[in-house]
Amino acid sequence: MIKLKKISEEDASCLKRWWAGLDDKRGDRAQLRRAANADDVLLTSAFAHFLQAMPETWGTGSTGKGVVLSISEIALIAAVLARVKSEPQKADVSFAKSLALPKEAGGKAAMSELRFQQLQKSRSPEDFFTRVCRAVNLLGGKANIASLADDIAHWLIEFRTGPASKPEDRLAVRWASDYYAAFKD
Amino acid sequence: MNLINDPWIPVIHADGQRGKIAPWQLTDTGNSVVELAAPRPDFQGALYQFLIGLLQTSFASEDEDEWLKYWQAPPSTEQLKEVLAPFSGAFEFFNPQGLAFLQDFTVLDDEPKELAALLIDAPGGKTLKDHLDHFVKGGTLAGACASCTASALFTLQTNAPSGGVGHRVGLRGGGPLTSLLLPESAHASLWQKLWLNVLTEEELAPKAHTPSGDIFPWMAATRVSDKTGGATLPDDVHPLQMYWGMPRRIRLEPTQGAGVCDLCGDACTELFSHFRTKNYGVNYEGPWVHPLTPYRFDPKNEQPPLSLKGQQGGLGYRHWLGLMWADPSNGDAAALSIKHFYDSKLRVLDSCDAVKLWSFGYDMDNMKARCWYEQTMPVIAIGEEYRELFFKLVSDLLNSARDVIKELRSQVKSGWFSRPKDVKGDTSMIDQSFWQATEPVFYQQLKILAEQPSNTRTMPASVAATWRKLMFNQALTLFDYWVLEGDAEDMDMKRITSARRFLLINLGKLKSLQHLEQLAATTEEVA
Repeated sequence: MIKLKKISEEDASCLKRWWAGLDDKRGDRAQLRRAANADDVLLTSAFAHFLQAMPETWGTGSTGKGVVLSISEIALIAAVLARVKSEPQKADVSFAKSLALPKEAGGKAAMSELRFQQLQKSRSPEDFFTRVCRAVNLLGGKANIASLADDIAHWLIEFRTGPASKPEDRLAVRWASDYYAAFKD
Repeated sequence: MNLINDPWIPVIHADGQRGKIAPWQLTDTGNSVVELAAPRPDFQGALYQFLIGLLQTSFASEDEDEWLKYWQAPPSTEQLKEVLAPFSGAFEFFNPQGLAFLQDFTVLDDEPKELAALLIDAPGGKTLKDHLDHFVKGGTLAGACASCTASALFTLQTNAPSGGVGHRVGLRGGGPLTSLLLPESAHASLWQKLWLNVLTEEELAPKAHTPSGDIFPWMAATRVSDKTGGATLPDDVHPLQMYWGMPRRIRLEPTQGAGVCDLCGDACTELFSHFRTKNYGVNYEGPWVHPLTPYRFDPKNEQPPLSLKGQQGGLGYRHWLGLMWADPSNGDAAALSIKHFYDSKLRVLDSCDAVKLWSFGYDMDNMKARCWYEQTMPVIAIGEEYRELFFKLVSDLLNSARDVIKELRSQVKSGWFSRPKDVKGDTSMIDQSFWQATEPVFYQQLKILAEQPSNTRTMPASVAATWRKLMFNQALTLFDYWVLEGDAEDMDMKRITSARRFLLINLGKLKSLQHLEQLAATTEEVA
């Protein structure tokens, strides 16, 4: 199991249910995927459906773990998740770990070290949005929904408030441990 | 001043009043003496040893029974006075033409030196000339009263570091650790604090009835160690000389009259300011084992035992075993007085007389004092049947901590540097942080181990499990602390995460930790 830091297990199962339901709501998915930035998402009916599918607290801007997210940050999460096509077979493959795994056996990491560092060092949420979408594409649309949502929330919070004082609570540390544990030169 | 007859030892009385006493007034019943009150910590340790030495030399008990008698009821001042009186001739402090305490038998004609040079931490001549006395300043001691000068003289002679060509180190080497036993009780008298450290005649040597040059080296021509002389071995002199070693040839210069003592701040009529010294004094060599100092013994018995010294990083629970009993991992063994405490005194003492160990000493870098360390630790009274095993179990805990630290240090360096093996420099703060972080739990487990029934055969599962978990958690926490604190953007996360992974893998492979894991598991099954 992947340990979630910023969203609760309940949040995660709501997200998954909503994401699985997108197969039957092609229009919603298309609306979200077309969005070039998070603000485009806010006014769509698809985003309204997303909020309905989530626990009530999300509508007032906080996750099940009591972590505060702005409405455009929530929109960003929805927009990225809509780009995911499938989940990895193993439940313990976190988003960062899957970036280090080769797409076919013996190949190179799905995302190179350099790009991985760039993703992490994005200068603005817009920048981050573009890069994280690219990361999902590099994975062929295959990513763990809960882990991806948790990490996006984590990145956005650190962008606003700075990294945590305890190393183990920092995204950079968590991502690097996951990524390099699976990374082969 | 006579160090036996006249009051010169600074003390605190039971009512909190301070004053000075002569040694025989130790057991005064009017306003009893509870503690020494030296102006400096090194003097405090030295005065304890002066008085212990005095009692050992003149008043040692025949056997445990007699020892116990005086533990319960100290001798009267009259009795002490009578016992000490024959020695007063050897304890004249200032006597320009004759015998003087801890001062050379002959009159020295070398250039007088400033009194400050008697202090071990005072900056040396070259340091002063080069203006390098940044932390401990020179020129702060112009003169001292007789009481402080006597303490300084004894402190130097008993701890003497190397002092340049032919300026000999003390009988226990330069800056030895001293281990003294103290009662835990806050109401203990100074007598009890001292008496705990006095051995019986059976344990050490028959007491003396008259002073002699064999015991007090200043009563005879100095056994010089220049080309004409040689080393002084244990067989050459009386064993009691261990308490009165005199490696340095010193003579105090006449005083310059009244003034205020720069050490204790008291006004006095005689202020000492200079002394003369000469090199090639007594050179103590060979298998000396001072009863109040822990030693490291060579397992092959080829090298003479080495006294333990104050060392960088100070004293901590990692020394507990070596200071208290014997640490098989390095050959450290507790001071004889503590061995004898376990062997005999523990048997006769009341079980509520809890005792602690007080260890102190200078950390010397040759002749430069780096630091003064002292630490008290609990002495755990363990019955004879369980004692061997108890110390073995403690040693298991310590060894696993040592193994973990080695891994931690090496992986922290791998996280810091791309070629960790080539990197030099002091990384002892990593070790320190681990010892400090694990100290409280160590003492908790020690207490649990001590409370086990005497038919115990192995380490209790709970202790093994607690300790193993602590080792893992602290190693990872401290790895994160040393490597990952700070801005993650500037770090080589690839290198760091791999070092962290190796830390986990290598900890898993450690035999000492695997052993603890087995202990934790096997007993659970039984339960």
